[in-house]
Amino acid sequence: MGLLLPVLIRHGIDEAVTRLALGAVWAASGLALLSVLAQWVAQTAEMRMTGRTGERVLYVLRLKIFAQLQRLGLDYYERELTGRIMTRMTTDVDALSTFLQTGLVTAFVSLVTFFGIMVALLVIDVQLALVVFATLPVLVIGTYFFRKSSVRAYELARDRVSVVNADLQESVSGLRIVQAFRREHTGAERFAERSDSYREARVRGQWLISVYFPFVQLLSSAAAAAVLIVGAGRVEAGTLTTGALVAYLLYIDLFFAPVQQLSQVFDGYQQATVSLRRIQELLREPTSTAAAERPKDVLSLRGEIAFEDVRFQYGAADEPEEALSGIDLRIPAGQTVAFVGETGAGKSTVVKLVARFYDPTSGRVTADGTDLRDLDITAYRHRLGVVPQEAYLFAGTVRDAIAYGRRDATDAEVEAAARAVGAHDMIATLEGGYLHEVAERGRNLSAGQRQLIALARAELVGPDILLLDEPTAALDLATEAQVNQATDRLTGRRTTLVVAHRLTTAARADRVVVMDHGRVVEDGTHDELLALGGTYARLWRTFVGEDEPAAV
Amino acid sequence: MAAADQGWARRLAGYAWRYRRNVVLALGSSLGGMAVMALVPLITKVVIDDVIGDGTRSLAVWTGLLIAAAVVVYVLTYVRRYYGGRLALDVQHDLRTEMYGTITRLDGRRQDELSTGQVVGRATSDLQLIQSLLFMLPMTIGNILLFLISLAIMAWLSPLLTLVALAVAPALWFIAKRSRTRLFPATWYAQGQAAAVAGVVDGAVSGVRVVKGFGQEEQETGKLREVGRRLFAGRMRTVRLNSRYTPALQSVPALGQVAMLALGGWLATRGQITLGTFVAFSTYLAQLVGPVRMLAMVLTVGQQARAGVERVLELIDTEPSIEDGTRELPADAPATVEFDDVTFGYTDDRPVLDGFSLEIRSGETVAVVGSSGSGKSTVSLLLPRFYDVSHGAVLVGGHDVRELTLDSLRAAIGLVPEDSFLFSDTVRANIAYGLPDATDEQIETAARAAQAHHFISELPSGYDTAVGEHGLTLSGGQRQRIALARAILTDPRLLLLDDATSAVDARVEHEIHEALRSVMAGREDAAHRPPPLHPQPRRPHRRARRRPPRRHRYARGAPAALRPLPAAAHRPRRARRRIARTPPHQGAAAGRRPVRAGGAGRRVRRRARHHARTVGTGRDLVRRPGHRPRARPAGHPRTARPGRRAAAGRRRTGPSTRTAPSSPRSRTACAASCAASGCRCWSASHSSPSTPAWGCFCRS
Repeated sequence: MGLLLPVLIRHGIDEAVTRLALGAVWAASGLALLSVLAQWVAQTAEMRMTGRTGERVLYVLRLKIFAQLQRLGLDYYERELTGRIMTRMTTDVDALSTFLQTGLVTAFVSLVTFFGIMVALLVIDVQLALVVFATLPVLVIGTYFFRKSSVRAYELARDRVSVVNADLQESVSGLRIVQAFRREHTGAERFAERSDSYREARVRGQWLISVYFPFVQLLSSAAAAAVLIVGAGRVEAGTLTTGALVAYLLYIDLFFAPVQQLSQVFDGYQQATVSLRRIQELLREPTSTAAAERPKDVLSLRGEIAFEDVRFQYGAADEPEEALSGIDLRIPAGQTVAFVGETGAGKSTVVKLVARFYDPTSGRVTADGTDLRDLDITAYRHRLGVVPQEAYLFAGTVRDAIAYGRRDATDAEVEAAARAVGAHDMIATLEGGYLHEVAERGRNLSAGQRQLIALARAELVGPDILLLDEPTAALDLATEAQVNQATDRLTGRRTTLVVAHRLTTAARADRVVVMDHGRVVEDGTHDELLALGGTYARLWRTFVGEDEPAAV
Repeated sequence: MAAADQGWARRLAGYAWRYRRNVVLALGSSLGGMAVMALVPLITKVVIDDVIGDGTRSLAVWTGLLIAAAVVVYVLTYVRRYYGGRLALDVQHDLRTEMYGTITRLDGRRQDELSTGQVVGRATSDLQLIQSLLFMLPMTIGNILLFLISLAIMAWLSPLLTLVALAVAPALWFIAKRSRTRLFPATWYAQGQAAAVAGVVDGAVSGVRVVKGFGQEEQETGKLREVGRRLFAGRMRTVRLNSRYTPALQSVPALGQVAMLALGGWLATRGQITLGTFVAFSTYLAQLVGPVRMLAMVLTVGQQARAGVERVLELIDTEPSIEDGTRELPADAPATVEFDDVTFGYTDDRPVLDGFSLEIRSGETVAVVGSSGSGKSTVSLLLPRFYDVSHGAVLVGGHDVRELTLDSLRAAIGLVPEDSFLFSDTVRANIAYGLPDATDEQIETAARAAQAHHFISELPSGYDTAVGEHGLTLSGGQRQRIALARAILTDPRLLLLDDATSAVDARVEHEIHEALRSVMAGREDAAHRPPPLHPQPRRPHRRARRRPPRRHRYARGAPAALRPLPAAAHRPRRARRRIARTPPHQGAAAGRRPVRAGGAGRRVRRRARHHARTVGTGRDLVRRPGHRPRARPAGHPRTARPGRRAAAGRRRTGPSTRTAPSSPRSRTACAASCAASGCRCWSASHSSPSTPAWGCFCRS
């Protein structure tokens, strides 16, 4: 818009110059100055406006997506890769942001400029305008093909670079393995190959760019030359002023840029629509553990858990096998129950249902006699202590990590919890003690240390129901002893469900439930089950070393 | 600063110079193209003044020239863009592959200094920066030329107008510079906040079980709201700065044009300049805007790229702190290991191993036991020489590992790491990782030995199932078994298991160790979780009994290390757990002192060893551990089990008798014939995996 003015003025001045009218020069200059200043102000205001609005939208969008992620059940997370979920929050939101903030404005400015110049050209001289417009189809066709193949080249390059980066990332995280198995050379070769194929894709894209962009320039030069040739004759014939010709030449410089810009904007628009669609999909994703209509608040629980003919299957209904097929189980308050069975027997699923990470496909799970689906899910989970198999810690200090379930805990409470599970001594050896910085996912701590902190974290919330996924599995022997001792203290007064991978854990429980293919096959105390001489007894015998099963 | 400047620039130039053709073409065409472009407005001037104005010159010639110039510019621009782009991509490729090469050479100490995120960051953003700098460079150099030529021509056309034009340049320069100094930190901050947002999301997504388990969705949303707000503020700051500088950068040249319009118009009315000059001038002025802006941009990118180049070069220049040895480990070297008074620490002030001595003979299985941080994993890292000891020596087959080539040393070792890292490839490729040309049969044999075949066959595409990032589509136990198969397939002389079966359930673990016992005949084996399933407390003394008295070996500072041990004596329940502890007197009573290594008061070390037994025929000399006798330490709470005793008795009498491995037969044939005699079939030797020798293993 403002862009048009200086050139329009120049048209005026040229007439002035030829007529030697100084007044016209000053008037034109003044007008030009005004238009430039107006444009300056307008552009500043516009950038602020679009920037602010765009950022607001993005902020809200981020919060919305995140809140939706928090609402979604665990099945979503088990289905989707972390990387993909992250892409929704980063790349997709960014694509949208770029389009909203620059794309829209650029598109608007380009369109206005383009049509403005078009009108100006037509107003000045129709014949010359037709000469200029003759180049347009060539430009449009060229741009179309360029876009088409460059998008393909770009996507290819993007795919290949992600392969290269994934290779690098993996090689770095598995460096020990690469070295231990002496794959440095073959690895480097493969990497060079991948990097080279990425280079090829990029070179192809570069070739397209190298052909196209100078081509636009060439077109504009050709148009200028054509205008000069036609214009020269017209000037001679007296049907065109020199000033008009000059203005024409200046306009042509400006005429082709918007077409290029528009094609770029279109590209951004396409990406933004893809991103927007993905974000919408995510926002529409139904949660598998919907909140109750009138959720009952949970202040405290006695801790009585019951499974009433619970069936469950992961994923779609056409899944061939049920993870749980008809579980009936009653766990009185205060009891410690160990679930034993092979991988896939369903023992982890049982615990997940109690945490209401999933809802049963049929039947119901109750706590203190109330269906879990009727309870306020957050309030209910506040009464749980969960210790996952691989202790996940959030970045922050050790103190923060322990206080995760209860932000308001005092230092004394945190320390008491740590002492209760025997983590205090370990924490004391860390640099900075409770203020030791925990890296992302607790990477800078050993598995044992993480597990102890995870136990302290569960202890601190003072849960009514404790869910342990064999926390001792990854511990070394001495730490395991410490943890077991702590766990005993922790579980004594609470309903505890333990997924036991080690039979020693099961042996210490009040009750052992043996599972197989989604069913409870044995149920009783350690001694009862040994006396029964069934699956458990066989497992136990294997475990303690009477290894007749393997001898055959 | 100047010296450092030159350093990185020279290095980068060195990389670019490898592609001389590209450099020359890009630079040459850039200079040529710009020179022609600088002359084009002159032609326009002639056309307007002489051809149209006075008609003194031929229209055809001059418009022809104009078109010719356009074509030349087209060709040269094409060459510049294409070869300049290639150059940038070539250099990027070289830097990237060199980076990879350096990383794979890094030893443990250097690896510890490295974080995955950082490296990948360098590879992506830093290399991208370098690429864009290199890409812009030829154009910038050409632009400088364009700038100078334009300036000269302008001065020749009209000195007065040139002054006006030059007044614009410093203003532009000033604004560009200011915007750079103000905008750069703001952008940096905003990027940091964006990363923080990503961090919160990543944490909440990967820790979703914890978030949900503790019902802390509110807390996470709160965290996100906070970083989101900071990101908003950061972005708004950049928006404000951008809105201040970008329009200014665009308006200042426009102001110059306005000034020129006024002045030029005035001069033209007085007849001091021609109309053609006026037009040419304004074209030059418009042409100058590009180069000045570009220069400002190159300076910004150059600053960032410099940091990028320096970071990348720093990584490339990282030298491993250990030097490769020169001698090959002889193929017939005995599979013995000795730690001779080894002292080692990850940092200088905290030794993890202090005077650690351990001798492992060929065919022995040794369990290394101790509390967290006592240095068990460290032992397994010193053997393949990921680290060098700071004192003492590690010997394999009688050779100091520092003298051996890493290649030959590591070829002899099969490592099963604690985290059982898998690559995102198929199961087959993962197992064959150490032996890429292994046959399917070999792969399956290894998988069977690691008790992995069964579950692999049940996977959707069997051995061709892709395991996903880090193998996370598999359970921990499945990953461990594949990692084990991977190590077994390389037919190592030493097998190192670093807590490698922790996530496998008891029955499977038992089977694995049964299989390992046969596979690892003649190999050393170190595991945190001692191989067999039997509750650990008994194993050390069991073994100890079998051993002849040996040299008294106490590591420095050992007494303190025993603190946690006596607990077993007075807490019967705990004794059931898998904690290896031998009250010292028992070992002594058995005629042997258990070896403890360690100093810092937390170290416990037990040796468990048994004699190797040699069986075999021909060139397949196979060493195989004899069966563990079942001696029951007196007074142990769980000793008196009739069944056990019987089993123990059986075991003690009959180690193993078996038919000598004969010529290769099929496994099924072997299984059938062995089953007939009540025995089990097993692969006797993995030393030549292509021709496995089968034999029967019987218990008499």
